[in-house]
Amino acid sequence: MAELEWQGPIEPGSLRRALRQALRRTSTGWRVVAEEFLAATTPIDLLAIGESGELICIRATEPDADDGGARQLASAISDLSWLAPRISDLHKLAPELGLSPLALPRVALFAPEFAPDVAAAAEHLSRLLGRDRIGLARYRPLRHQGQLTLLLEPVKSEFAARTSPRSSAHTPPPTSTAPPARTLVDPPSPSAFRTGLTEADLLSEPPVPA
Amino acid sequence: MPRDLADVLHYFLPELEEGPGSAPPGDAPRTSAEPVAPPSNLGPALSSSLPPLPVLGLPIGERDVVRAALAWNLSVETARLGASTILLAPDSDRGSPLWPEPGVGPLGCELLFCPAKDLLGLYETAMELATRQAREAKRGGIVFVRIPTEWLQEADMLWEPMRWMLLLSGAGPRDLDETAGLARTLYERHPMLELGVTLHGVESIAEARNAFDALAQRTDSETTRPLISYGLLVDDLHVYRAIAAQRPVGLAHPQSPAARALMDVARLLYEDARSRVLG
Repeated sequence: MAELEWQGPIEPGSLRRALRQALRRTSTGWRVVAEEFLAATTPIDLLAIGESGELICIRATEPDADDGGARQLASAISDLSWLAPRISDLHKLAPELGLSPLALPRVALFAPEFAPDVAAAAEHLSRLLGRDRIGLARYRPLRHQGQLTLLLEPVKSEFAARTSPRSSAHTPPPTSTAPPARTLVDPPSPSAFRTGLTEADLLSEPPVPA
Repeated sequence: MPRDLADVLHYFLPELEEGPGSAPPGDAPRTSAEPVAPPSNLGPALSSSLPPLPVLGLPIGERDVVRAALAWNLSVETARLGASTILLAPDSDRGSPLWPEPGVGPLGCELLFCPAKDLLGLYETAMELATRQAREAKRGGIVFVRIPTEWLQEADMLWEPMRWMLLLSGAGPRDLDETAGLARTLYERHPMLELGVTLHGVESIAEARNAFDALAQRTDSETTRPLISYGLLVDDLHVYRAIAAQRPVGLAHPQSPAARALMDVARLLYEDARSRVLG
């Protein structure tokens, strides 16, 4: 696969475009609505709306960054606190986007590699905040027909896995019947088909009685 | 750094500010049915500081009244979402049953003809319109272009300008075969192309999903390129009535399944178009 690896630098615009295309394949419920959306201090690479109408802040680290994703994680925490009080205003100003004023924003971070402590910190924070509000995914840049293509892989912290109560032999398995929490980056969907319709939308309205 | 929401709202909405050379707001919309002259040189047009509106190519045969009607209705529904939309077709379509009368139509959607004789000429005109319209389009938009399917068969055609196309496909085996063949041809000739598919003539979401999945899987195996899903459309009686009356389905029968499906596909197209303008 070495001949498929992307060689050389990656322009930020190319990275955003490739990420958007990769998300189209892997996270079909996400709708990207803006690029380089200026947040508190720095622009957010992509801003998307998730299946529940939640705002998703997406940041991608370029391959030559060498901080293991620490700066990105700091920006993500800042993004969450900056976006949360603005959700209802954004909903009023752009109702056609399908943004839910009740849904809390999430962040999705992408990098070629995350340092173990960064991954553990992100997982711990995500657990504190609830609902998988911070998630990480690695990307692998490939060259496909001359174009930059990204392969995405969700990251789970080894530290968090070791310290998780669920992994402890002394703790009984969870008995909750609640559905499992969603991972930040959805697993590759078997279908990339998109529609906002339900079967009920395709039924003709019954005639109104006179 | 303290910020006000108004400072950054334009990043979210994406409202495109008017440039210094933009037309005055009092300019009347173009209503002439005269053909749009192809630009002699794209340089000045492309040098504008504002990004042009995305151009969406739709391959439609010269007698394909249903696909033409769906394309026109999609442009109207996209306009209903707040977008600025233009539907451009070759001058040879003038007077054909494919289209209603040219000019500004429902919700400001504009139908124009141009004397282009090939794909390059058509695309150049579309880009000229896309650049011009970007100055006035507060909330972005799309230039829809009807591409005669026979033009796509020309071996020496210049493909480079093509970036974004939508194939309207039936869900039957024969329709899917044709669409898969066209997708393969388009992808082989143009590595930069992004190709979308909308399934029409379906009766359920499951039918559309299965058809799209089969098509996407086949295209992936033949070209290793993805297809973008743009939902489904319904060819119910309201569509045919609207075609006969040359009225948009969304205005004539707003509660019909066909109108709901058109709105949904228009939303998908508009969201991608806004992302493109920002990108």
